[in-house]
Amino acid sequence: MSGFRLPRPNLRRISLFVALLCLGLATRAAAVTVSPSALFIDSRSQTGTLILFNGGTRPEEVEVTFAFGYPISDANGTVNVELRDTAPAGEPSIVPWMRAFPRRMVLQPGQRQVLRVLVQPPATLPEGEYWGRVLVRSRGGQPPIEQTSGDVRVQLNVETVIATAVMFRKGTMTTGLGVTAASAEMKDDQVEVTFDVARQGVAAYLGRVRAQLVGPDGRVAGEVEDALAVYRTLRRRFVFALPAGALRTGYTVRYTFDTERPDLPATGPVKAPPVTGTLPVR
Amino acid sequence: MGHRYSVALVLASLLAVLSGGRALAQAPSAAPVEAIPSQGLAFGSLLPGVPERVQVGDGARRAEIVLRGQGWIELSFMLPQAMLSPSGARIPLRFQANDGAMLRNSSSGMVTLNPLETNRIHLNPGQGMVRILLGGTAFPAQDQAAGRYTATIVVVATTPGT
Repeated sequence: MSGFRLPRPNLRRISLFVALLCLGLATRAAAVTVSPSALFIDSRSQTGTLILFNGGTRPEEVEVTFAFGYPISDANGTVNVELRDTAPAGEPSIVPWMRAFPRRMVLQPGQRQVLRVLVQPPATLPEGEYWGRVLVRSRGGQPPIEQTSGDVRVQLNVETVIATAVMFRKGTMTTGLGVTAASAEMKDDQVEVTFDVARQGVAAYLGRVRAQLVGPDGRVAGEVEDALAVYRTLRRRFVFALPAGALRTGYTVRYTFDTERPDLPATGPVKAPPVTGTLPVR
Repeated sequence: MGHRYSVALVLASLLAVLSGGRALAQAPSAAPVEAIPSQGLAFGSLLPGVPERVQVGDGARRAEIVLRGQGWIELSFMLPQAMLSPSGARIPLRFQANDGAMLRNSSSGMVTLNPLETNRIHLNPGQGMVRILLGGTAFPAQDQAAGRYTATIVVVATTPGT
């Protein structure tokens, strides 16, 4: 790192050089993991636990905060979770009543920490499912990143946030899924499949979608499978690529939406009957 | 020749490891997904008033994050608009849709990855690690004020389908 004289003496001399901040260049960097990947809390226990683990080689400074957000999609079927400090009016947010113990900690390498999440809404809270996110923010573990040269100093902070969904449930939970629109279109050498779905019942639909492209000969020409979280409505789009020389007509798409989610706690997703259907490719 | 600032700006790259058990349709005991920074974003020498862009294809100066594990992960970036000093002075930064890319292995080509959107990435241990690449642009002012400039890049990881 070095500065050098500027060519004109009346000019401000600023030289700053921030060395490659070298996170993890030679050794494994910070490595906090959080499990499980979603938290389901009922109104009787009002509490849930997350396990934080520092698998890295340096201490990790961790802070726990909360936010509201759930997956939404745009016209192209791109899904995004927009995190907000406060929920828009009318949304079933549990954020105002969430607390975490501890809120701040330093995890040493190899250390495991139980994080208790407490949800204490007023007793008058109507029955239903309420949503929030636990944000586990890591900012430690890195070497010093502030460098000084001349009269300018630069510091670049890097943080990692693991956003874990929280569902708080009061009363009987039901869920389901309705396919409000679906299409399959042949475009050049690929088939584009679009699903518009809407949640039914009172709980978020946590499931998966599986689709198969079936060729004119009845054989499966392609398959996709993806996790799905429908809090209100969602658009998903999938693309099947066709091999060169393949027929361009006579295809259909078979699809199934179900609530099988082995990656989530068994008591988490509310079960619902599968939704199946077939689409002609136009 | 105007002012010349020597600036090698390295956007610290992205620490950390994001989460465990992030996998679709697999046992909860599946290998955790990790994101480990391996290289920062280095703007190098900046000329006053002259934007400096690090192309995502610039292997020496782009930021790189290594992803390892099994299953799906959704990554989004909260990218700073500028580095700020306490007095409010700025060194603006800009990240564009084509400033990101993904590299499955050294023999495969880069696949464009928009750092302005959420990116869903599938990890398969059999295919090796995945490298996430990030470029960007810095805009030093003609009369950049002295001071302490800070900025934060936040990498947000979520489990798909939650």
